[in-house]
Amino acid sequence: MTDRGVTGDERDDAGGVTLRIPALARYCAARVGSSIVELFVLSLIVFLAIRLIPGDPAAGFFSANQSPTAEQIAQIHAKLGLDKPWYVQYWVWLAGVLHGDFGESITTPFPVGAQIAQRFPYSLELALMATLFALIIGIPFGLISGAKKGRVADVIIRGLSFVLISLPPFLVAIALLLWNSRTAKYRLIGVISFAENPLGNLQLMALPALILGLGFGAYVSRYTRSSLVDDLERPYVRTLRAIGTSDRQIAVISMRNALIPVTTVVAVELASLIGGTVIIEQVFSIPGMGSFLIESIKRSDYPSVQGAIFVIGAVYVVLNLLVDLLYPLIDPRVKVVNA
Amino acid sequence: MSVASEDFILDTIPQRIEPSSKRGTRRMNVSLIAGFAIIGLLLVAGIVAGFHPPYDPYATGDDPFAAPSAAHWLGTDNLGRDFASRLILSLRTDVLLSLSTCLLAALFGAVIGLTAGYFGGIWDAVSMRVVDGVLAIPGILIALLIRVILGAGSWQLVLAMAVIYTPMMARVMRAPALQLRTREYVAAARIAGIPSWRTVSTHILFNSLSPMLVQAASIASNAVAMEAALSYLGQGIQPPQPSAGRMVFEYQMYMQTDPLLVIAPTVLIVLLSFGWNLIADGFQTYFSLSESDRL
Repeated sequence: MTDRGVTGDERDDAGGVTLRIPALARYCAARVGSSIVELFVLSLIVFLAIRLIPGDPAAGFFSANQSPTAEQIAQIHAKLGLDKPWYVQYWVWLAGVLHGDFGESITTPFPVGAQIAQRFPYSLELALMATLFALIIGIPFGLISGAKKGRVADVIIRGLSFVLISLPPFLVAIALLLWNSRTAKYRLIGVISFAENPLGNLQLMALPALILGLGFGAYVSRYTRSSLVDDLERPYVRTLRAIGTSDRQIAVISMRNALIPVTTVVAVELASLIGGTVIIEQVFSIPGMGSFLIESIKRSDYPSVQGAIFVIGAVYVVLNLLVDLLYPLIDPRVKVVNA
Repeated sequence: MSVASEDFILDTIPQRIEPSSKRGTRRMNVSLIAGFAIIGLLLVAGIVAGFHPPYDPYATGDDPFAAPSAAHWLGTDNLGRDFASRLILSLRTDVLLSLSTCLLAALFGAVIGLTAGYFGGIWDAVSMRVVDGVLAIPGILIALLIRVILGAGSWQLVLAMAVIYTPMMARVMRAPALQLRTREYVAAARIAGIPSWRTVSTHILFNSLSPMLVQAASIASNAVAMEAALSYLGQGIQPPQPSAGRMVFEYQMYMQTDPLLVIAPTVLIVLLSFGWNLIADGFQTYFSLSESDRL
């Protein structure tokens, strides 16, 4: 998350554009390359971590009062591919994953890949909607707060965002569910398939997404504010003020500059957003990746745990990559370093 | 939740070392006082009362879901256990968990960060790549992975959270070490023949304390929320030991009839997380030279 590779601070002497196409291409290639390495390391960690769990998978094939011979155990190991060295097993698993085959679940009759395919869209929808809410809420409040630095509106917005950052989203969710159960009694739990009822799907997903988006939006608001305050201190603003530009006009001009770094906060907050979806899915009984992971852990269904953690981690790596690739497009002034 | 960014941390490092130049600007502020008041009170309540609860928090009674009364201040839970005693015990668990996580992360993070910044070279490159690698995985996935391997429980939880938060502290501590190693007094110490471990553990450490304190309080706040979330998912503290997150999970099926069982632990988690955050915010203001804008 640090060393993003691109920085807005490094300008050439003229303060102008230094990003040329070859540099941009090099930067993109480097970013894609490092993401592939990250995915590789992630898959290795996930694979090896599951192997560290004590116990022999062959035990599941015998009842407690059976005492299998060494031959029988070896037979099952051969059947499961466990007689091969770990790097061969890893390679077989990775090759399967690359073809969308995550292996068989040991506690459900469905393959892991099929379950992930079914659950993944709900989590993605939740995360994207939460990000949308965060930007819709965070940016305007951050701009107001920054433009009116030190005034009442700023103090209130900063205070509110501070409180929202301290509130774990799942507790807000439970409080709202409790309140709803005593007053309005709307249906808030579960999901409706988007294919069957798009409007109902969005309506039901709105509350969990909003709750996740509130905390995220508080960060966006704080970041937007500090970015606008910094920009308003730059020399060009002094010049504008000297030639008699009104505060309102200056704010409009400065706003555009101030919004550029907001991309960074979205990237930085992705990790906690993904953590948030895991928990909020549990509260609202959303059958997404998070609840799949938790259910699989509870059932000790290791192939499923392996698949779920890898997919959630991979989504994070890919989203991070997308934000980084968008960065030079959003801010053409940035210079590519270390590319 | 995210941590204070490295950029602002750089702002909190004293630029000059003469104490007189900034002592005057360091005043106690509302956030710091309020934060210390909240955490101090909860700490005392949790540790003092946690060892002497009014009732045995594990003893079941024959009067489940009793309303608050003089005998049971907050009533009883689904098994007739005294709810106030359970809440106090969970407070102790939560306070101790967040404190030990914060101390472990501060210790390992400071050692890694300071040595990486001070010595540089291969150690710096390798340790920072590892730190970036861990930071690149969402914390909750690391915690769940460690839970799958080691099983669920208190020490596993502390270990998992230490693994998650150590890299954040290491990143924050590396920056001042990098900056301070070029100072004259560090060169003077080297010329005087003082071993580098002493330079790092005295001069560099004590001049990096301000970002360390801000980050430690921020980590404690995150740890409270992480513990609550993991226990709520059933993957943190295991029954019968109570923790606030675990209680929200266990009692949420009774929240229609007895909402206090869910509201009280919720308030506890929010107060703890809020209190630590206030301290982080307060330290930030306390150590800053000017009112710096921060994330």
